[in-house]
Amino acid sequence: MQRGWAFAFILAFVLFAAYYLITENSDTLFMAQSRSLFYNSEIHFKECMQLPAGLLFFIGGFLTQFFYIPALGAAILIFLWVVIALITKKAFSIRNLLMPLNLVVPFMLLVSVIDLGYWIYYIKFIGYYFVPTLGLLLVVSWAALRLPKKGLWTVIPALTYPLFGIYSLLCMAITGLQGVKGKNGNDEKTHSMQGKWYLMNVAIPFVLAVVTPVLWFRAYSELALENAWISGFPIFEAEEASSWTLSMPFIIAIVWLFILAIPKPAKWTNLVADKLSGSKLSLLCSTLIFVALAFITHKANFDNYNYHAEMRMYNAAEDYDWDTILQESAKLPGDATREMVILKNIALFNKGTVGNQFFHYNNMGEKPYVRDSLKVHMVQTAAPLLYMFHGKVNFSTRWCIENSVEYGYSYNNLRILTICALVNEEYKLARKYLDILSNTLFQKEWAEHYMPATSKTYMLNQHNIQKYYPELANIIDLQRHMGSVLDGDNGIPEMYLINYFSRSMNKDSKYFQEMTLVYALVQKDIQLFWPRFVQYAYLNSDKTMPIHYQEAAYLYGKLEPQSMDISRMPFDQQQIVARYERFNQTAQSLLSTGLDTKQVGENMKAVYGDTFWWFYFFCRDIVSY
Amino acid sequence: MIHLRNLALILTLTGAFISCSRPKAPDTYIETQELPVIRPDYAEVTMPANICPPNFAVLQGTRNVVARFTAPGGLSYTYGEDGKIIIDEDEWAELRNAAKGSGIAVEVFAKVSEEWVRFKPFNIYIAEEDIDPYISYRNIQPSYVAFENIAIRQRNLTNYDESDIYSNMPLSTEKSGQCINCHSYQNYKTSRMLFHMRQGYGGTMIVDEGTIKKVDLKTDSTISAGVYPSWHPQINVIAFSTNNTGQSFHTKDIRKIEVQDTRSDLILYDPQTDEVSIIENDSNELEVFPCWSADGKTLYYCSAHFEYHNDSLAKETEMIQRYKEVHYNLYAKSFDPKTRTFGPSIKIFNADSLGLSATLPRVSPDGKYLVFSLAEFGCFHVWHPDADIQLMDLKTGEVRPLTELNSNQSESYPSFSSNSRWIMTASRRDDGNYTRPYISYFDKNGQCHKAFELPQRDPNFYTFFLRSYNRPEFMVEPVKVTPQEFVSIAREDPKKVTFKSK
Repeated sequence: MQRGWAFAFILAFVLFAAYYLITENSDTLFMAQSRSLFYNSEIHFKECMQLPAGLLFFIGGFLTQFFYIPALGAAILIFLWVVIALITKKAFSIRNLLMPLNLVVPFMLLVSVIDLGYWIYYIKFIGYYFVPTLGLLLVVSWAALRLPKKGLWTVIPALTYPLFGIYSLLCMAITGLQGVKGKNGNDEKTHSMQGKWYLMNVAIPFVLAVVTPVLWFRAYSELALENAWISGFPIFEAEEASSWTLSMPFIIAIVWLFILAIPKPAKWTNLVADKLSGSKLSLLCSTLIFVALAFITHKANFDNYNYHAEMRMYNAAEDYDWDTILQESAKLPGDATREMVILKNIALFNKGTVGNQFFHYNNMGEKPYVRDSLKVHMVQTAAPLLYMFHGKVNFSTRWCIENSVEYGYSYNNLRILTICALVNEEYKLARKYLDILSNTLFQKEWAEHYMPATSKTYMLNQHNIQKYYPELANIIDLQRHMGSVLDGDNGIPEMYLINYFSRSMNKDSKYFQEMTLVYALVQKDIQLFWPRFVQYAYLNSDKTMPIHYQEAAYLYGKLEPQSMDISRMPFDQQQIVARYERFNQTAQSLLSTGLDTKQVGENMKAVYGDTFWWFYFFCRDIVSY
Repeated sequence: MIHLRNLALILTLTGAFISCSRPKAPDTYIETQELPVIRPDYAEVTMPANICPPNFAVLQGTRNVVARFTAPGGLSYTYGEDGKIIIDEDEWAELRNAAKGSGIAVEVFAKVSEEWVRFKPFNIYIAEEDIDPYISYRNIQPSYVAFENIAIRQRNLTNYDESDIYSNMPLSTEKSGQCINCHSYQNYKTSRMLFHMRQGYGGTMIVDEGTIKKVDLKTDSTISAGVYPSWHPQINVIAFSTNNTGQSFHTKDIRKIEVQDTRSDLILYDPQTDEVSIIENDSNELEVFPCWSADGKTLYYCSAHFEYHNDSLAKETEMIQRYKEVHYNLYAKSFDPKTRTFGPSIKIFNADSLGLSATLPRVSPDGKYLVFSLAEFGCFHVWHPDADIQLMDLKTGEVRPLTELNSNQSESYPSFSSNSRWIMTASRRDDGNYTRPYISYFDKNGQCHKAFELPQRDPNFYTFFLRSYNRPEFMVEPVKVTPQEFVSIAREDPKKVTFKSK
């Protein structure tokens, strides 16, 4: 019966973890692997081994790639957590009915995966999602080992410190704590030899835990002595912020293991055993503990809608899946982040519907939601991809490399670097990145798709690439028609793109020219608008003028008649002329009631939110980042 | 008897295993007159008499490959496994010694469609002369502004051993990241050496015959702290440039980034007195890249004449607008080591008149030649694919490109080995982005031979290694100060130097 309850708690945890990982956070897990890199090379192994806990970094990095199929990666993670729970039970002899006590560590590890939020872009920790799991699995396994004179055996964790870092030290500390039990008479043979017992089983492990990092320190040129005791422990530090909250799950997990390992007075254990002897009380306590852990996990989950939707849109953009981006954008419950607005724009540009649908979607934009002082910058989250789709492959390359310097190379930036190199006709460079991606488990197929582009047959000219890789056609088009100047974005890519394109003109590329016109609209600048509008009309004389461009032309013609004579322009009578009159009248009447501009905008959003006019008058205070 | 039988069996099996495990060149094969495609390309290169084995990968679409190396006298070894030719270090030493002054013939075989093909054999020539046993370089991603996880490393050329001289990681926290650069030695020896640390824990690390100190070379009378260094070969003074450097980014140009100085001068630093003095500070000249001659009686440097025209613009802005107008020429300035006084500057190469820019001069220790990098404009040629290494005969003043060392990608930062027989350059020929050390034999007649890439144990190393080798420098001995000792000094406050007016 008791085993049945233990199984039930485990099963409940598995289902709970599966829900939060797969249902709630599959986009997070996919992004996690996308921002990691594991390739089959001695160089990669050596890089992992540059710090203590190197083997864990290596294995953790290897396992992270399985998040490419989020359910698969989650299954591996959950399996390891269940193993931790079962070994914890064995190590500390916890009764079946108190199974949730063994689930404290797995719950904390689950929290550590789903509470990150935007820190996911700022972690500098290879294999973050698996290293603490593997490390704590090692610790509980070591704690479960029954060895005579175990304190002397702690020389093994001391020797394996380069492989396991802090987790080797924790093995020693746990052994020391377990050793204290000898005093309570658990071991009759050594009871009379307490001094020797303490030396072997308590003093040696604790002393080794303190001195081992010092002894190994000189083997590491990249390690500061003060960090030698915590190598392998996740620390959350970014340029402008740090977070101890995110380290708390790991601290709780470690402290909990210490509590389990600390010897309890016999009176206390007997008392607890008596009190909990009734299975109902035990079950009630266990259930309460489980519910409390589940509640903490639920509260820790970073469930901000935009955070997840942004990731889904980003991943869709990587797959050139414009429909998914627009669907996500259409169903947003509130304002989008600026990154989402740009991704939506890219989708509309690529679908060729930007002139008619640009203002059908949310263009307000807000800063990403964060729980702490983390400052999220688009250059770290999405700039390489956004620049790439704007044909600015040099800037994309730059931010890929800058981010690789700070946060390490990843599948994501290697893929973007490949595309940029191909567009720039740097075929040898593209080949290098593709060779690396070919040596990975899940990126091989992607690499094989682009590998022919580096061969002599395909590399001859851009027409070949456009023929065989149509998804790159627009990027190449933009890049080819771009001027060559020295420039800089000051770390704010959105403002740079708006300024650059709204001030550019092109008579040879319809795609480029439309981008300049749209960004001139975004600028709300009449002087920038007219030349780009005229150029657009000239290049697209065979097409009906898209509705938003008509809206802008009509409005600007009304606002500043001297800037352009619009009297002979064939505006759509219903959608432009009549609708603008209604828009104007509604705005005037609402203003006359004493509402301020913001309130008027809110009132008119439902009817006129899909027009340039509403954007022009009421879309304000956009802050890029 | 039983034991002996067992022993014999073990020996037989071991012998059989060894003979089986050793690759063998095929007896029958088809011959082709094409050279094999190998990476790195070591065909017809000349290598030093003390270099480690030049392992390579065979890129013929099959992993079934072998290569037979035959030295004069018939000494021959065959290698090949999984598409790679990994040469035993001891056997390579035998081959190398047997071939000194001549060449090792290399036959590459590949099994293609069940048939062995022998490609056109090539030679690896072994020079009579050794190369300096060590080089050092800065491993860094080809980054633009960001810096993290940078290391100055040293590599033993006679084997594959590599170690950190200094890594910025121990002191590189988020709030005080640290950039490190410009490692430099006096006369190829490491008892006197330096490197810079920027931003967090900033300063210049000076090792001076057993003492290590960190100094701040910025004074109120100089543009910046010391930047590009050159340690006088005999006396204990260092010439530095001081630079006001900015970076901007090409929207489309393949060069991607432009690093420009809006101001630069030359200074002289005395590590014993911690004084700096001005060497050159013409406000209309951008002086940079000092380099002492081997006898210490001449200071070579580069300078571009640049006058700002528009007072309403910031200098940085005007420089960005006119960046292609910056052409550096080569100058020489006499120096008296006893009085520590300089003579007038003499222009020795007018790159500007050719519409070009000359940078990074280095003089051969035998005093006969000067190498430098030449490109269309600017001073930061590592990002300029057109940058090539040129050789100047200091007797005749004749300048010619070192075609055997150059490629269609950037070559920059040339340097001579201490015996003047090897020239090393930082080249981007592999992929256009990641800088690799390439070395050419430079014979007594002043002829350069086909360059070879620094050998690595794993032939595919450069494919997977995502960092550049910046500023490769020859050394006759390893750096003996440990990285931890450097970190300990780096944590200290720097000693401010004082300015000494003329």
